[in-house]
Amino acid sequence: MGGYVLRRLAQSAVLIFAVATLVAVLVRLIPGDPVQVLLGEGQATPERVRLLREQLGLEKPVHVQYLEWLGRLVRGDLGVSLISRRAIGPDLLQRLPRTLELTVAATLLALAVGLPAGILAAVNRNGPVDLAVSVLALLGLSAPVFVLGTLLVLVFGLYLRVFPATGFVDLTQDPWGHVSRLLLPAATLAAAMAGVIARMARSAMLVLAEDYLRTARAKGLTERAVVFGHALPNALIPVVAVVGVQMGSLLGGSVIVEYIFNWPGLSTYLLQGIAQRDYPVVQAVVLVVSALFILLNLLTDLSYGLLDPRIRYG
Amino acid sequence: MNVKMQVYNGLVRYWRKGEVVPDLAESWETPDPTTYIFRLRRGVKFHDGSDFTARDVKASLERILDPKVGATRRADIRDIKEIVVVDDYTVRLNLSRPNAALLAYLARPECAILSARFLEAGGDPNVRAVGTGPFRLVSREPGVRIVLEKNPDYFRQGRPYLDRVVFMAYPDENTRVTAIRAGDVDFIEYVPWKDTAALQREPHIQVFSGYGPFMCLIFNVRQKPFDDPRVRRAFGYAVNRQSIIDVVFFGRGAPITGGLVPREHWAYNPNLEGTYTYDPNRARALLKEAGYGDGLRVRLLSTSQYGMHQSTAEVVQNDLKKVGVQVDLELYDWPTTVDKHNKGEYQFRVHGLAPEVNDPDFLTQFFRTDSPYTRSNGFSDPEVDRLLDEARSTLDQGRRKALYGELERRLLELAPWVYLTWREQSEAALKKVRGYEHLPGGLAFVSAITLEEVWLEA
Amino acid sequence: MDSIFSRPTMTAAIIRRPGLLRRLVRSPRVAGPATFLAMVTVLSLLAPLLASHDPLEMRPPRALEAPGREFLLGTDEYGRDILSRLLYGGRVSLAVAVGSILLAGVVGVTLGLVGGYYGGVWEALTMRTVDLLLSIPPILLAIAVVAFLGSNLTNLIMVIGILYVPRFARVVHGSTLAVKQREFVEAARVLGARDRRILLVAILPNILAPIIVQASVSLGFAILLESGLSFLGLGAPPPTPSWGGMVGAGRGYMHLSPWPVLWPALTVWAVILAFNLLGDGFRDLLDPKLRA
Repeated sequence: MGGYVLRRLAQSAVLIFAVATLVAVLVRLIPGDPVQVLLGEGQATPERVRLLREQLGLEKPVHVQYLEWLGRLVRGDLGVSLISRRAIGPDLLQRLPRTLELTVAATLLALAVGLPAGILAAVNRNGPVDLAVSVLALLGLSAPVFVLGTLLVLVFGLYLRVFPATGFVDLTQDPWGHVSRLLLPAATLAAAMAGVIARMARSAMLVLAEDYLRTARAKGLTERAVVFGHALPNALIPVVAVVGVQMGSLLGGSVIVEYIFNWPGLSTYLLQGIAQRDYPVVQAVVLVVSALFILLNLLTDLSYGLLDPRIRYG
Repeated sequence: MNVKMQVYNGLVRYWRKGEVVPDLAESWETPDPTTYIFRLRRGVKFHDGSDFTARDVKASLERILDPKVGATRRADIRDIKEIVVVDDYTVRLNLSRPNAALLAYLARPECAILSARFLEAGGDPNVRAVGTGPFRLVSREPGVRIVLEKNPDYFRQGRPYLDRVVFMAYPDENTRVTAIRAGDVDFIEYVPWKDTAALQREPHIQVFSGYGPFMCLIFNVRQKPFDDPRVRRAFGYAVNRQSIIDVVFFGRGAPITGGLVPREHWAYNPNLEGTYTYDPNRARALLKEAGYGDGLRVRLLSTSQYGMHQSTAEVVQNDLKKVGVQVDLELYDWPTTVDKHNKGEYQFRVHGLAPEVNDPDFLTQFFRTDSPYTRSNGFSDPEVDRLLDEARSTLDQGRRKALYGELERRLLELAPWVYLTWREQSEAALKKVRGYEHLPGGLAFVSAITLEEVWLEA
Repeated sequence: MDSIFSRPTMTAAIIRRPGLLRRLVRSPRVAGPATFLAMVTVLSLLAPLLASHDPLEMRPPRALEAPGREFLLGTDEYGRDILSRLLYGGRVSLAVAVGSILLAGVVGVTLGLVGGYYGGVWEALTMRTVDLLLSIPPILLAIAVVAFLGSNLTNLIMVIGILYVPRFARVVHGSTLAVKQREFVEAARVLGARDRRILLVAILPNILAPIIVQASVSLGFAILLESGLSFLGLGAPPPTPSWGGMVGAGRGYMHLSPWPVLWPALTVWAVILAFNLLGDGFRDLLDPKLRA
């Protein structure tokens, strides 16, 4: 197991490096550059373009820029934004917890809704509850995030005025204000995940319940005791795996939610970076997100082994 | 730019009706057409506590004129040959030739006066803001928010009224509208046209509007088929401007059938009205004359990032189909569009622009040979250049009006651009927000200059 | 989002069972959604015959009308007939879905097979390539493709296809791992079959079940993804109507008129539902271990 973990860690490091390189190339290859963004159409005379390129260090060959970037990275320096001329590290550190918070809140919400719903459906297999859960789960899965988000804002933020519709305040400044602004985006993100969890929990329960029921009936236990005492704990294994995978995709998938709710997390930072061709910002965000994503995947894979002693790594 | 206006002052500035008024200069005189003498305010302090003097004016303007800095307004105030500090509170500008539009450009926020001491110490105004303005910069998180607080030492007594201003970035227009409707914010810029009427109906919201920005088509005249003015003119007749107004701007616009100098301006020429109307037959005839009677297929560059650009392109596409022109849309994100524009990699494109100054000299930026716009589309006409230069260096308003009339007629004839519509530009605020004013025309975008006189009614 | 339904460890079905096709057709859990999807496809294909209006014709004065006699499902923000656009939009959305999933399937299955069968370096290479694909922000990828190659349907198919490669690769990889231990693969190897033959004849047919399940589920979500890309301005280029594009455009007018977003959203939902039910049905039939 130790050897496997080490090997995967090494692979992860290589992978993160590859992602960083690929993104550094990709973002420079797409048309439009930060100089054009800064100058726009009315100001981009050749002299000014040249000047600004020099000021921003963009006149150097790409591989030199890349090596310099790597050199700084090794020292823990993520570089300076080309547009705002601010250090990226602190800005990124400010945004990272906001995205993590949104992801965790969405995961918890999804578990709180999806797990009971899935179990309920399994217990009432093929009954009306089962059907309702199936349909709702697919509704959650198939609702475009931006439609759902807009709907939630309109209903809860505007018509019912239960929560503030938009914006962000720091947790330290106004804790309730912070949490109340977190709920709608978290719920929007949670919808699809809750659907996945419900469906997963249901089918895992069903498969297991069948095996266990046979044994349990022989032992004279009630169906209820079997479901909650035996099937449920085992059904949790695939659910945990799902949650891991899903959280990973939430990290990258919160773009639209952060955008609609004006949640100043990593995704909006990335979106802004792309929209301004702010190369170092894009590189930094992708680096951090993909590192998190890859580590989460690794943890998920390893957790199979911990949860299910039958799975062994060679 | 909004923040710039709050943190800095200029020598002069635009005010409520679009007029140029004193700012850091108390008064000025022009003893001869190539000399401006500004008398400066006394007792003004920068945010770092230092005194404002003529040295700051000299340092700031010289910074703009320095080609190595690459400042936005350099080309516009290039006629300034020399900046002379007469005494601590008097500055003289010697021009290389008369320039009727100089004050109009000096009033732009880009001509803000910075601290000479700050600049000499190597300070970068892109990083730190040391100005004399009504507000001081407290903190900023790019793309999220900027926090300003009142400058207690501001030279205008009793201003500003607000203690603290927070600028929040709301990139999504729907979220922005929801934010004001829900009262999450007190004020929003760039009200989407589809929502203006609904916001006006809200009892707790007021809307400030004016025409100013305009939509247009820009042709790359280097290549076929747009090297032929007849094709460009044909497009001018083929597009139904009213349907752009209805569809894209929900009725909140006005067709441009004449020149770009707006109706309320002294240089406006009413005789040009009606030059371009919706006339598909004429469009077809012109296309036929140009040899494209059997149809034509062209690519239209626009951006998917801004709804009004994309929708305008869609309407243009729809209208041109009716005169036998098949239009393929090329929709990119904004930076790609800008890149293609600057490299001249397009056949024709949709654009939304606004006059940046309240003087018809704004046409120079759009049409003078070697401006970034003409560099992009390849348009160059000696007569246009001559008229632009002459009108800029003529001080007599009547004579200027005649020159601009002639210029605009020529531009309509050559049609390097086809003007489509004026569009309404609006801000919305809660009713308790008082003292704000929407500046006329293209100055709409510097309306935030009035923020120092805004207060909140209890 | 749904890859777990076909977690590799659970699947090792053999598809070549007698009478399978007949059972598929007879099973209401497959035939029901399949019929619905066939109907949707036929309706879309017949759009030129069925549509009551030109889907592109703008009628500014009649924008955002509620459903009525002339426009059965109402009009959008340009006054275009929503029903006609739905019919035409189906062609684009279904074509994009099918095209992108085909692409994703071919590439993903190849990666998964190679990685799973050869193991070692190949496994590390293919699976880490998949991780790499997953790590690139989809929006960056989409912008890059659109900016380089232009916004047209082929490129849209490519973007969505690339984004779906990892799902297929992972599922196939896991299934291949499970199947390659089986006796018939061993047998083939002992008999001296070449790798390519083993992969195509012994392994691939035996992992078709999870691939089919994955494909049917992904087809639905590809339509959803197209709507997300449309929202970001990277979807099917106008004026071509697509369901996703309609949802994306309609979202901005939700508070003025619910219809432009409601109808395409309902359609997308129903189609995704059908594809998922189809996937469930396939799985139940093809994968006895999971039959509930």
